[in-house]
Amino acid sequence: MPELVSASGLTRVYGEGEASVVALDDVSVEFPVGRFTAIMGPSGSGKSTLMHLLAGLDRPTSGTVKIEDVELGSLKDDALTKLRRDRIGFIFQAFNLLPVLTAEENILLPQSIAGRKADREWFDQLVSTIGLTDRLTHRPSELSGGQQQRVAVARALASRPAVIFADEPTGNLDSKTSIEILSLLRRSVDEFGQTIVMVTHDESAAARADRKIVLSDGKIVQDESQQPKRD
Amino acid sequence: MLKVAIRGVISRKLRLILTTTAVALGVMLMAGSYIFTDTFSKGFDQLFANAFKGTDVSISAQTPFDLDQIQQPPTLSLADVNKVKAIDGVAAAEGGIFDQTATILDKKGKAITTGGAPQSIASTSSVAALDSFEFPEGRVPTGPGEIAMDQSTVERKDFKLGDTVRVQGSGALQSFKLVGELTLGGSGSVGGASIALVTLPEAQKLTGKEGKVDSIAVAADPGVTPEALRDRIAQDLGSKYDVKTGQQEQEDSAADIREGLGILRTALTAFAGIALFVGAFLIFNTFSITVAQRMRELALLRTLGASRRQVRRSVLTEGLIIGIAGSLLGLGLGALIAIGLRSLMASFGIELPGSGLVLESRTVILSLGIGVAITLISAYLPAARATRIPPIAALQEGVVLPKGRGSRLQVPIAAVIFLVGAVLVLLGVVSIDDTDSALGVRALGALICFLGIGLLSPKLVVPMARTIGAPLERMAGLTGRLARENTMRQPGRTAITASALMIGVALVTFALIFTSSFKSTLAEAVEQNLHGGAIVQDTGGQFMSFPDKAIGEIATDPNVTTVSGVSAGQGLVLGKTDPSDVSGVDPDRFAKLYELEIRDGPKDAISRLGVDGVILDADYATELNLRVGSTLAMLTPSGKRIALNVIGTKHDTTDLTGNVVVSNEVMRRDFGVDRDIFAMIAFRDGVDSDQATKTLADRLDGVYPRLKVQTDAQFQADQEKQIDQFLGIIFALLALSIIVAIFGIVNTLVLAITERTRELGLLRAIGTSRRQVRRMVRYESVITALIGTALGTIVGILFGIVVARPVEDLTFSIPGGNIVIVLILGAIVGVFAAIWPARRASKLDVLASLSYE
Repeated sequence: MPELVSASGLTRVYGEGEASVVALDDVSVEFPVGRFTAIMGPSGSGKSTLMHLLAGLDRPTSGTVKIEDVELGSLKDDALTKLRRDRIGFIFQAFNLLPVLTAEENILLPQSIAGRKADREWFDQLVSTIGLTDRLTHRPSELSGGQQQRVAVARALASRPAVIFADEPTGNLDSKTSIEILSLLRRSVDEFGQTIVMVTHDESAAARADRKIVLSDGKIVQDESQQPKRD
Repeated sequence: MLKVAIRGVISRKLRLILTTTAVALGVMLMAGSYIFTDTFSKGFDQLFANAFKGTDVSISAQTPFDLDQIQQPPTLSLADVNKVKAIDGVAAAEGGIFDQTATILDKKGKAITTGGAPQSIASTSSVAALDSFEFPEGRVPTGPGEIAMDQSTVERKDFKLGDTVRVQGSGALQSFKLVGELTLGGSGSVGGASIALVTLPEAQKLTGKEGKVDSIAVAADPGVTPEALRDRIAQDLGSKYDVKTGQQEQEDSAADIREGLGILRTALTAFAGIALFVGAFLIFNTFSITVAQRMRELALLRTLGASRRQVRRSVLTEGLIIGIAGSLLGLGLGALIAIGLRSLMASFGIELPGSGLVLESRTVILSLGIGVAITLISAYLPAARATRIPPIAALQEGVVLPKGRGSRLQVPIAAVIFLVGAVLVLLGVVSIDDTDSALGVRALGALICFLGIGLLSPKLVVPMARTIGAPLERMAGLTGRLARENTMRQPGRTAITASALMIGVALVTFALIFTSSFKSTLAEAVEQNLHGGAIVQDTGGQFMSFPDKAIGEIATDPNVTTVSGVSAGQGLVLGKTDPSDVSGVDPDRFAKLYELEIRDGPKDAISRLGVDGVILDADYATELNLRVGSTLAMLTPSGKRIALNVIGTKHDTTDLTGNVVVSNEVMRRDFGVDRDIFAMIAFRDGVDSDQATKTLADRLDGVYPRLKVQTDAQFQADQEKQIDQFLGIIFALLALSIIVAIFGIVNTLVLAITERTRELGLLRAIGTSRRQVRRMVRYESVITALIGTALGTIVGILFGIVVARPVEDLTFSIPGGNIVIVLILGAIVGVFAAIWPARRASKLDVLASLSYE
């Protein structure tokens, strides 16, 4: 299987001198196409740092990240921004949506930013799969937390990115809604072949992934494939 | 809690800087105009104190009413001087000339201009006690052909001792040798005026006052008080003399000047008031936003057990600290403004006396008082609202500030306020005769209108943003759409920000309409009233009148067929308290050159003026209850009582002629005025008037250098230039309130960006480029600025219609092109205001903003 995202020797140090903290310590890892990976670990283990570096939101102190054979470290801000826009999808714990835009506008946001026309067929399929068809004209303030997060998932999928990074996507949701979102992610991997990297500290969420990586003190302490739990 | 407040102020640097600057900008112009006017006012006080330092008693001719500068004051005779000398208690008495109709030529032979300050011919003093000038260079003129000038003019015009200086009074040009430079109380500049000091006989000759003096200065014998001497002299001389102590004279002179410059003070204070008013919007908005942003912080304090009062007090303490700091900063900036205004005046050629800056305690108290009061009110209202929400609700994400109690009533209240303002404006226009109070009522009405529109504008923001944002959205897609949505998000904020700009723009538009109307009126008047010849004016401005023989000289020009001089004076119509302007015309020629509309009486009334006829302004005649055939009784400046037959009434759209028109013969005989202030010329048929004007101008230049000959078209252009200059000054003063408003936009944007850090982080994370973020902020700024500008032009045009339209004889005109330019400038203002906030927004660290707390 081709390696979609690969990192080698990733180190990230915050601060300088005596006050410096090593958040990530010489981590190398690969993510192949079409897999759902969960990154786990206690607070301060470096899991979020790893995700930020992989997604080009932060730059490593040393080491390299490649997405589809493009080395992120060689990209200027503009090119990196473009890469994030076109090839990466994001789902955050909260604040995923712009309050001034409707659900539909939020879903199509990355394409609008790029000034591209949306693929209507794909959009319709996506929206009906996710179950948002009758919520498209609503603004985030008129949606429940679960609905908001579903819009975020739809947005991440809408531009058919190479990889979706999800940072605690269920962290703000109750367990029933969490299951909804997780099975949505699972289905996108199974049905659309989407590659997903998810940071979570929730075991039941991680159980939905094909692979589980555990970080501790900035190092990978466990990395194994697993049979994902399906509903 | 005090500690919390102080920490709060210090810890948030951005908030501190923005709020303090808001207060400082609000206070700045007010402090500046007080410091500025206090400085020159004190300067003039000192000037006159020095000028009259040795004079115990000063005597001049009594006038039955106060003259303004268009009429030369009556003179005294040398016999009067001798009479005073003989009075017991008089140590020395000396007659002097102080005549403000001089022309001094520079070395190139051009008339020196002083930007409105007089050029004077003064006589030397031979009595040491009465001499107020010092001569740091050279000496006092002692004989014929000798002159001394004020040091500032000598230096400015590069004269050296021994040079020839040419001076013109009422007669021909005369040459003098420069023997000294004079200073007054150590100051080389005498309030911006130029002084030509010559001996008394030379001064009398120059001014055509042979055997006469303008005033008599008296020094008292030792032991005789000025007051006692004044009373004694007044009794001996009788009622035709105005006798004052030196002290009184000094105070009166300073008061006269101050009254003249009072217009400047009033204007400055008015503009300062506008800037302060705009500043209040800014301060209020800044506090509303910062308090809203701190709601969670305040709620945390509440959950920890702080009472509402404590929270409010902590916000107020913060307001107090910022209010004081901002006001003090504003005071400092005000001093800079005062210096700036001074150089601005100097660049217009108006040199004001006084050195250093005068900071009266009144200025400090007012600046601090108003600055702190506005800040406290601005801080209190949002704080009171913030404390009304339950603390636990405020701790959650995404809470918004609850609306004020009166928000449901906002529209009706705003409408009522607006109507009250509008009614006041209309009252000021329609029913109040006194100019000053009418102006005051109108201004107050306008301010109240602005307040009403400001309160109403949150309702207008949404539709306006939609309209203005639509093309941006089509052009720029998502960034345009987000920009527009962002302006509509907190309509109240956008409204206040835009309203601040609206005020400045409305006044600019109003000024544009007024000046445009003036120009149209002028153009019409030139078209209708003048006959295509030329006009001769004195370049010296209102103080000046033609030298005696100038009209004769013009008449001898071969191209000229007719020349008609107009003279000006003042007289007091019996029964009135204020004097009227009286114009003297040439009955035979005036009508050939100027189309004066005669309302009642024979059409050729002007040629029938004779030696006892008068034509009155039609409205003035109605006011006096006089008609054709009545008799007009009036006092002339020398106290002579005259009776004239009303032979006609006129209507003069240009106000070239005063309310009372008599023949030049009457002006000479009864008013003592024998010089013209203005003349009109007709050229022979077939002569090119441009060419003939130039020929005449060249010829006059060598003989009467201060006379300016212009064709009607040149005259019109010249007047338009003056109108534009006036407009320029108005714009310069309004610029400050517009700068305050621009800062308001910057402030709102920066605070909004802080508030939307997470959104921006998200946008950047999912692929919005820095440039797109900048563009989004810029468009938001442009939309806000355009809302303000559009509201402003609408309000300005409405004011124009209400105020200027009903003005009689004013041809109302709306300068469409200029208003379009104003709108374009409004958009540019938006782009400009966005520079810094947009940079800030695009430089946000994506990660940091995503985890922003």
